Amino acid sequence: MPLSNVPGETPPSSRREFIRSSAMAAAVAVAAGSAGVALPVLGNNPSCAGGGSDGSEVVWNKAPCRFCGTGCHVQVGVQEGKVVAIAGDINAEVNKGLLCVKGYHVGGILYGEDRLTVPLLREGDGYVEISWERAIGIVADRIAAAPKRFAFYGSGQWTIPEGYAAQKFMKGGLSNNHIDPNARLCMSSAVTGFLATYGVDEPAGCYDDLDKCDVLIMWGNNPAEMHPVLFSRVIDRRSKGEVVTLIDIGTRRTRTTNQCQHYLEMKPHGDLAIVNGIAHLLIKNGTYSRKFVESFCNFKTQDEQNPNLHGKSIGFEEFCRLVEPYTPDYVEELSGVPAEKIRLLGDLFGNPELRITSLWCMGMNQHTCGTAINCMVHGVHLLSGHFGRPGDAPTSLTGQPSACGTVREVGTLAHALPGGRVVDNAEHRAHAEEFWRVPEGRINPQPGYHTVKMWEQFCTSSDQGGDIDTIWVQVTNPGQTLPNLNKLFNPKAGLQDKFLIVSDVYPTATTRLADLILPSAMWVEKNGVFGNSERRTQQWFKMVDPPGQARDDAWQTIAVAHRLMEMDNEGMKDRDGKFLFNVTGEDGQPVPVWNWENYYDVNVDRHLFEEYRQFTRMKHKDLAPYDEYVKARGLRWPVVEQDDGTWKETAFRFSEGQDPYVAAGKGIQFYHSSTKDDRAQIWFHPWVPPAEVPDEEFPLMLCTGRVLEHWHSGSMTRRIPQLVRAMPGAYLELNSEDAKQYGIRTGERVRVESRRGAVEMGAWVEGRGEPPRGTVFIPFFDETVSVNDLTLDAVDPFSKQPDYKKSAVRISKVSS
Amino acid sequence: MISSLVIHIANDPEIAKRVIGQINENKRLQHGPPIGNRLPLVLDANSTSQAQSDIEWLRNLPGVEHVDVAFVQVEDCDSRDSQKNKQSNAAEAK
Repeated sequence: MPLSNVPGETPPSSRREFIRSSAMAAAVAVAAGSAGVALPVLGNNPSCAGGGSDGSEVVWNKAPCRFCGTGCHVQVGVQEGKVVAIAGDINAEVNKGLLCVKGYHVGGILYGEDRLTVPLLREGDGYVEISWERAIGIVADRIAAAPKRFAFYGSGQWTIPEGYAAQKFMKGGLSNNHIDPNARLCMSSAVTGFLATYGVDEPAGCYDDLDKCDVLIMWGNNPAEMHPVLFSRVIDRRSKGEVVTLIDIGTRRTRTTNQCQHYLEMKPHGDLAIVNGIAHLLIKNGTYSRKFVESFCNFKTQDEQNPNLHGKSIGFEEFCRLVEPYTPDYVEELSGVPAEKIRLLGDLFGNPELRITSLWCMGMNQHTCGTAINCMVHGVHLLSGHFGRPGDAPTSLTGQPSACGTVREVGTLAHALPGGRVVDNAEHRAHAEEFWRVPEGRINPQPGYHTVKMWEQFCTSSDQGGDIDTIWVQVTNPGQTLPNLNKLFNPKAGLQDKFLIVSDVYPTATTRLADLILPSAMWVEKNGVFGNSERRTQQWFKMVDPPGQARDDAWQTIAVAHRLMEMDNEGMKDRDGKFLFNVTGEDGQPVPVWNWENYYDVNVDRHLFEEYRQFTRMKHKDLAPYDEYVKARGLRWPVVEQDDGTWKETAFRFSEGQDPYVAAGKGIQFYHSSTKDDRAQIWFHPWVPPAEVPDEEFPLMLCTGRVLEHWHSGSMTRRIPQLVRAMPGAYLELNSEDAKQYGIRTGERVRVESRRGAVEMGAWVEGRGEPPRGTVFIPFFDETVSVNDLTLDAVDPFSKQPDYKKSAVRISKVSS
Repeated sequence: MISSLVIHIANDPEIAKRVIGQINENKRLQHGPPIGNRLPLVLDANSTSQAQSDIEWLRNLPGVEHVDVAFVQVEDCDSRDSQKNKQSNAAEAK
């Protein structure tokens, strides 16, 4: 409801009073869990919330929030062709009407003053405006000149249809697997953890676990800032008198810590020791769940001769022998966590009456042992039987809105095909070739370059073996987010034979080195479908036009594909000679969707989604028809058709009575088990130190991360005045004792150096977070403080995900 | 700047009464009707730092379990100016 229509409100006498009354109405609405009040988003203009100058009313429609992987639904108010208001959606199960401070301002991301509105081609030190016709031709020419030396780099910000189009274009069209997403940097260790444990990706549980758990353990996770709406669900339970024990296991105190009964401050990589310590105690105390283990689990450890995700089978006795050394005292020595806190964890996991949920995100994933720690946290849940009941679940969260939907499910990774398939499996390739109707053998069986390798090859000159010449970036900002930028991105500036194409909505650290910049439509300027962290697929419709000549990313991909077909590239045709993206209208006739003027003559998203949906059944990740998502605030897969023709979602996988694919009488069934016996794998991995540790030269450990007010690289949230004012820039957070030692006070300028680079910024002594002595923290949202000049590019051996949390640095005060 | 806040208060009527009493003494804060354990608030501060300080004060009040910042309204604020300033600062630093 528009603010001016809030019942009982007296008309405000001044603009400030109006804002105050609006703010109170908003607070009341949030407190009541109501979506009845909308907030103005444009220029603080009260008229935005009421009737328009032409007397038009605000028209509301649903969309998932554009930011994180939580998947909150918002109601978007549109008037006179502009988004004028945002409200939490009370009908959304995820957020029940609540939004975080970013979500309430999400409409503002469309209206930064420096939106990209016309294609730009580098000419000398500057750019010239060019037509879309010419821009599409330039992209097609670069690809046609060397199709195997071309790479596509996207993210979990691609919508599902956008990612699917890019995937089909590359693997089904160009026979080129060099496509990878920014999500490689965020959650690929979660993927390998799920695969190695259950044989299939993505969590068994869902957000309902937060409403049911007795104990919530956050492993290197700060949901109070990164997933605040989810965290509020738990805090709300406590404020109503429910007993929920919150445990924070981390390397620095955060806002999450402040709400927890227990804070276990660990040394970096201490998590590996802690999990082994829990397993040790469960076995020593006889409190592991023998029944669960004997019924549903196998044991594994790594095959050192041939490291892979299947590992080496071991017996229970061997597992016991491997965890035997991890006594509470030894774990204290390795992790820094007091032995009595390890015993506390052991006792909690050893209590079958409790329901325990584990949450994690970047802290466990951005880890050179990311696959190992993911597997091991699943392992202690399995070993203790804390699995399969609502509230008893190990659950990873994602940072991007469709990291699950677009990356993990569509498979926009260098080794993957849609629906859990992989390129090096002949049967999987045959499935994809059939669904895409492309000739047999079209799909290349060799995995492409993962993100770090892709950029390393791009930033190496051709005569020195750098075999990626052209990269097309859509919906992400690698010039800010890649690790070790002085190796993986900045060298591009001196390589004349390399060509960088960037589709984006604003100038970024990536467009800075682009040769061709393509202006993109964003969020409700286009149709879209996202998939959130709890397997929930969410759809929305285009509500406003993009500015200037900005156009949909999927259209850009399809237009380039069509241009290549016109240039006689056979890969852009299917086996019947039809265009790879042949879209027909209601009359069955092809619609020329490669022409922008015709792109919205049909719903291209619906077409792509329905084609993609065929892929989803092999791994039991079944999606419903597109139109079912139009009606819902998202549905969690597998979504299965019922006898009466309705479609039913699944809250909890692998549990009888919840998951329709679990056979009657099984109780729990891991039906995609890698050992083909319906069992999950409990892994042992030893503690190992981080890839880089502080020394005399670089005596401090740097952890990077995020803040509440900004999302990802800040390219959107830094265009929202309210968020910028609330959190203006990056800072070096340090411990007061370290600050005293270095003679640094809050606000003073500090130089931070690693073996890879140096940056300067202001200091914040014991600011929002409190790092222990010897560690410092810098958020990465600020383009003007390139923290990834400092970070290490060492990766997990299986997921290829880098560790942004552990780089050795030194600091010094910058003299004025 | 004006902020909408929602605080979650411990499930104890005496504590809630005390928290509301302390909030009433802060002239920059105005509260709405309690809804269960949630209390809607408006914070009207002269600066970002004052607002942040007040929010920290709220967080540290005994009995306040959590503070949600639902909305922040800033008058005469221009993100581009802010970014330009910072970029120019960064350039100077180099």
